[in-house]
Amino acid sequence: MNTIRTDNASISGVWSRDLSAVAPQGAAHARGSQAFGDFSAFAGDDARVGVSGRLDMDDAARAVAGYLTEARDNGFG
Amino acid sequence: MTDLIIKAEPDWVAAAQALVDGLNGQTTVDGRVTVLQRICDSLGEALYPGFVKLLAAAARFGDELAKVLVADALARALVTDRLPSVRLPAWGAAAFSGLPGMAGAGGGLMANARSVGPLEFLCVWLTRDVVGQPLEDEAFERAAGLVLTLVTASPEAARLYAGKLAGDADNPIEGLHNRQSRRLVRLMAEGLAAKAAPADTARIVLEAARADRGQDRWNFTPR
Repeated sequence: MNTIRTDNASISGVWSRDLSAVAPQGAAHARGSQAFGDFSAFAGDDARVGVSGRLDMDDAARAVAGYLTEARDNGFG
Repeated sequence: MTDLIIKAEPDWVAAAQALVDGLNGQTTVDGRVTVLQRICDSLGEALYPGFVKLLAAAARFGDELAKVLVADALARALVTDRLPSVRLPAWGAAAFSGLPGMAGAGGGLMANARSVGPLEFLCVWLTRDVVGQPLEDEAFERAAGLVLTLVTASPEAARLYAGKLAGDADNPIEGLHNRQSRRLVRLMAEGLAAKAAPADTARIVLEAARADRGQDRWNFTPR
């Protein structure tokens, strides 16, 4: 049986930059590390999120993904 | 084809508000568990750290009612075994060393995977690199402190999560933890059970991890 490995960095290394933004290959890890470890956006002590609005679950999931993520071409197809 | 990645400047406040709005849009606590799962699933397993940070953002930016809303949903998720989780490789499963879909994760097979929730995930990540980059001490302390803050907003969630973590730590055959992460999970369980301040628990766990590292520097026994 033949096995095709997809864990070669040059092929699938995009996955290891899961927390990074669009960045050149060499800078990706630093950006990714910063993405989780950087809590500068969490500064202060004000509470800004309250129980007021309502979203259905699909809209909530879409909204969260929209605020946090973006799509990047992974080089396949 | 495209992958989802975290933005360079994600809006954690707006995302936390959307999470709370989604929970508030449900009339039942079971529906709120489904919202948590839907959001976790929409980010995908490779972005599970982002989901954990979203919970941290809810703790950081949420008012008391918002935190209780999320924590009550987590409590229900614990009761119903639906805690939003990620699959991590069992300890020693060297061929499956990271999050599903990551480089080095064995093509996503994850045959020896174990599901872990947010607090366990942080403990495991602190002791071994499961996302392709180590978790910095300061990031652990901040994230763990905030997620613990969120969990303790509901006494029931804190009680249930403490029990789960203690059960994991006491289970010698669960296969996820090595000696270090098992110790950290146990300390976290003890902190939750004792109703210790979340920041204190996070610091104690971090200090234990640091002590283990110092000890292992001179320990040549294979782990």
